[in-house]
Amino acid sequence: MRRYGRLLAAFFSNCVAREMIFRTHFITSLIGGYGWSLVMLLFLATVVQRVQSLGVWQLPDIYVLMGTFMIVQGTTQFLLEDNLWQISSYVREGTLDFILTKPVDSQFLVSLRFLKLPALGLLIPGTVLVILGARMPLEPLDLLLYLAGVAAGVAIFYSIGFMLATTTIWFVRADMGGLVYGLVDVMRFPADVFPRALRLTFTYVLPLVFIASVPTQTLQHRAGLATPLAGMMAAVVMFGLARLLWRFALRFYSSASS
Amino acid sequence: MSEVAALVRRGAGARKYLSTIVLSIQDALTYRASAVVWMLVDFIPSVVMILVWKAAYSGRTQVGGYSLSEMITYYLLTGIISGALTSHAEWTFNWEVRDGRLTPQLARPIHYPLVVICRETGWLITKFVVGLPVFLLLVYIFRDYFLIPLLSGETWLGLAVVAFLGYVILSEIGACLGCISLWTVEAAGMFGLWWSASSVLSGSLLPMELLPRPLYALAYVMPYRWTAYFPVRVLLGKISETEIWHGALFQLGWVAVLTLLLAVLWKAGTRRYEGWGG
Repeated sequence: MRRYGRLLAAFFSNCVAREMIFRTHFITSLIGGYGWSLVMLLFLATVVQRVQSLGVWQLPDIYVLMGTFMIVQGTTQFLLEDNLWQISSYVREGTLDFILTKPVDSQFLVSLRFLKLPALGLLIPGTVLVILGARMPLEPLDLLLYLAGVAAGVAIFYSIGFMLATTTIWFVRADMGGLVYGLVDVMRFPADVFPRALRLTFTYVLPLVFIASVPTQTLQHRAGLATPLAGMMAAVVMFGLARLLWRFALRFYSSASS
Repeated sequence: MSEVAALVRRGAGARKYLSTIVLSIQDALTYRASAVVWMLVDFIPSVVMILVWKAAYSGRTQVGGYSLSEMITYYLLTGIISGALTSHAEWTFNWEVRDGRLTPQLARPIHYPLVVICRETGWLITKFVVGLPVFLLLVYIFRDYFLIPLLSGETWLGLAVVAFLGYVILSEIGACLGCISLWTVEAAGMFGLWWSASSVLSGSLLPMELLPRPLYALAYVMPYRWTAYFPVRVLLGKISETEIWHGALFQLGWVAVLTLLLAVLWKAGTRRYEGWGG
């Protein structure tokens, strides 16, 4: 475990050095990352202000929801995004050989090697929004469950992204990734606005509601204990599936180098 | 005789760009499944916004002067219009500058920004044709709300002109943005921010009247409202025929300004550009 911690620290400092070579790019990516989140916040805040509430969701809840999504999205992008599209090139060029022969877990290495530092920028406005909208006083248990819910959200988001990246071992085109990312992106909206069939799909088939809606409900005292626990279970299941798929996919890998 | 030769030369010049469009359509048709997927991705935000509005109306008949049917129709039409008119010439610029592929292009007898716009046009045509079934499927899903446009012949003609000019405006903005790459090499981060702002100012995010006051004022003076809000209002039958032609004149004004800006940026940018590789 300590070895993995040390490796992660080494990846981090290596990525800091890389980013500092292209400083302008780093700064524009940092600011550019805020764009869509702010636009979506403007949309939802304008709608809710016009009609007072969206079902049970009032403006403070919308702030927490948007903030939570930004935190989960920022963390997942930081960990995974720059690695996602590398995986197919590892396979195509045969460099996966070098990864498989290293004395480290291959999933750890392929999915965390390149950390996307500008994505961390989303955590600041995300946290500000959560603080702005949170119903005070906060119960310690709710806060704890909220943080666990956010971690579960990151695990679910990571697992879905990693599974998609794994499929590039068989299919080179990455368009389906765009579609799934488009779907994940709508999770910054209250889950209640979706029709029943979609809501059930996003709960039991592709458990996306646990990414932001469920942690928000937990923090706003609107969920019992069962819902956040279900989120954690969903995260464990999704992570397990991602791991199984990776191991399965490796069986189909035949080295490309001599 | 020399006049005939000049005309022939000019015809051959136009043919280069026409062939670029045809080639890019052929290229895009090879990836037609991608075109369907990207049209779906383009529509996802519109669909979610429709669902949010449906929840928001709950019993209300009007919000901001729009009935629920008008609002849903507005977003469906904005989805297809924005999807079909939005060119991303800036990305092509950026890739080619970064990878040094711009250098050989500069030596060719072509106007590079126009070639990039033509390549994007081929892709947009394909995306529109292949994505039309996606739009029709959504119209079917929301059939209880969708207001079928019953417009006069002149309005349809006006719409075609207005949509074309909207497309020219967006293409030129894309190319102007792309020119920034000549200075910064890597400008991708800025593009995201720029297009997020344009979705607000074009009326894709919210009908313009619903924007907060300062944003409304900004949207009013920027060119974006002519690329989504205006064509969609024409399609909704909310603009009279005379106003359509007035609007088209404003669009022509923007086309002139942007053409000039593009020429200046391109000239200054290429003078400064240091080509690597090629």
